[in-house]
Amino acid sequence: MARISLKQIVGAQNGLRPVVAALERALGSAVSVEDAAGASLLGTANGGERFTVVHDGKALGTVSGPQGAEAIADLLRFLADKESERKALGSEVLHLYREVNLIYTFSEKLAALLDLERVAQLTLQEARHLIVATDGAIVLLDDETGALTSAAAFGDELPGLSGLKRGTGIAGTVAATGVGEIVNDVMGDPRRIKAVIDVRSLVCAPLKVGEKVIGVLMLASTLPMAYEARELKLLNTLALQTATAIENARLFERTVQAGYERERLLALNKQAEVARAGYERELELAATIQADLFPAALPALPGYDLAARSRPARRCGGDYYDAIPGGASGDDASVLLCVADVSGKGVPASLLMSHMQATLRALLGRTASLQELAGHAHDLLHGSTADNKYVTAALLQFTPATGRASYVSAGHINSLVVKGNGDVVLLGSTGAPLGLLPPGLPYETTVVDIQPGDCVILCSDGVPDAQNETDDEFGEGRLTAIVREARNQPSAEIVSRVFDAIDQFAGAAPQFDDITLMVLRRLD
Amino acid sequence: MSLKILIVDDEVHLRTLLHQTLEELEDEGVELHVATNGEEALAAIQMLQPNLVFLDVMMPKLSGFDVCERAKKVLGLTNVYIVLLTAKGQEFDRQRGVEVGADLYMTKPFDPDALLMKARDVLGI
Repeated sequence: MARISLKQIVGAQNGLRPVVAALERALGSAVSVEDAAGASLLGTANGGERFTVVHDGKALGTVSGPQGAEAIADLLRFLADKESERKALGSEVLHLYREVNLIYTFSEKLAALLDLERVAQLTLQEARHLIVATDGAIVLLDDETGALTSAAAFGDELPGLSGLKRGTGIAGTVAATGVGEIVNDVMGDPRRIKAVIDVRSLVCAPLKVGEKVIGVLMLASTLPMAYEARELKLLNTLALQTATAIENARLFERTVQAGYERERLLALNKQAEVARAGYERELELAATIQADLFPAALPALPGYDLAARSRPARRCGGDYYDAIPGGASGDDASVLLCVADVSGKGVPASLLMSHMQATLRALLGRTASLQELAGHAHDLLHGSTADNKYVTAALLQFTPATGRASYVSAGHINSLVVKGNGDVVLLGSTGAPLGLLPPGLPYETTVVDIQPGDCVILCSDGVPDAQNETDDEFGEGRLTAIVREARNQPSAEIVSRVFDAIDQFAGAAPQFDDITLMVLRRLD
Repeated sequence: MSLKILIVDDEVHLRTLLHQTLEELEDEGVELHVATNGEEALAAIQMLQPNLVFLDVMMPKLSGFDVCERAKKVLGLTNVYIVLLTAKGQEFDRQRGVEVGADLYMTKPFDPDALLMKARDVLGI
């Protein structure tokens, strides 16, 4: 109850003095007013009767004067009552104003926060301004587990709420029902949990977003309190704003996380892109090296028709062909034909291929025979490459003038000689792949006599091993049949027919190995 | 001589709120006075020479700026601490506030606790 003093009433009521003066004139006697301590407030005491001004059972002061002065005392008492009412009303208005102001500034402050814990702390801090409490907490509900975890708290009692389950205790009940509660006798409430020891009274509001409860806001007192509906109402108002702010904070957090994740993926992607670009460059380089190894043009051989084609399975293959004139001149002049398949792919295979070519070109004309050349090539490759690097090769050295040829196959697939009459001679392997086994291996030589009308076919295993969609292989038989049929056609035509037949056979099946074919025809 | 605070606002509910906010100071001997417009305010300032004035800016006829300027510049009452009260969200001419010699400005809705604290601070109680 606001304090009322006679001094304030007399001072505030400007109209009082004329009234008292008029009464004095009417009564024909002076009237005076003194406060409870005897200090004069109006007029000068000059005896007469004394009338006490009582308000709320307490003497505020006295009015002295004749009998009729009692009316002044009554008037002052009436004014004191009115002043008391005014103050009570003013106090109520001020309280509401504080609430409005709190909610107003609370919204503004909340809007500036995107951090969940700070939102929770601000809520408790603001709530304490208007609701008397020794303890407070905001606990958030985990949708899946139903557990409540503390987001912020003050006082010693309420940290115990953390770990509470939905439906357990008073906070858990509010989380389950979504309806706020006032409990002024916590000790007598059967839902009371042991972790909260000294709380006597509490007021608890759900944090709701739409119809969904995301947590609970609780204020409590370890001293007995009589919380009222208006405290719950205020708490509900704060809880509503807090819940929205918490959702916003979570959304923001998720957005930020998603942003980080996106950036991380972008960085990874970029790394992969850089690596891929590096790999691309390497492949490009390997392809360039390899392309340079194939002869730009095959040598023109009078009386013969020579054609070759190689198609890598990937950008950079492991097949190689070459036709190198070498050895003696004139009628003894010879030409070395070679189709080789290098182990591995990419840059390493290209380097090995380059090695192979250099070796062949270096040795050609420096060895007495093709088998010696093969032996030296083997030794050199073995000594200069890793054990798992090797080359299979079909080598045919012939003298165009006579058609006399030596054939060495270093672990290579069969070569064919389709005779003018359609007979087919298979040329099998005459030794191990170059560079694979220890040095000093002997190579056999097969002697071939190329007659006018004969067709010699050197190819890589990509020809017979070409597969269709049902994994059948093209096979040596199909190759032989095509060549036999086309044996009188130009070599380039034979090459084209074989490639066309392979493509037709393979259909939609991808080419998995390099395909290389060399055709030498001795003209009639 | 007792300490005096003058409350000036043309709106009755704000006068009531300001009065109510400051009322506890009466128990400490502070006199609270009220004026309902600029002219009344100027007369009261001249007569009472209050220690502190809470002065609404937006008033008909004589505005808070005008009252402040006359009190400080014309009457030379530089010892009177004048707090201008402005409505929130309303463009407040700070420059004008400085020019007329106001000591402080606060926005409405005001924080009762902050306002009371400021009053105690100015009055030294």
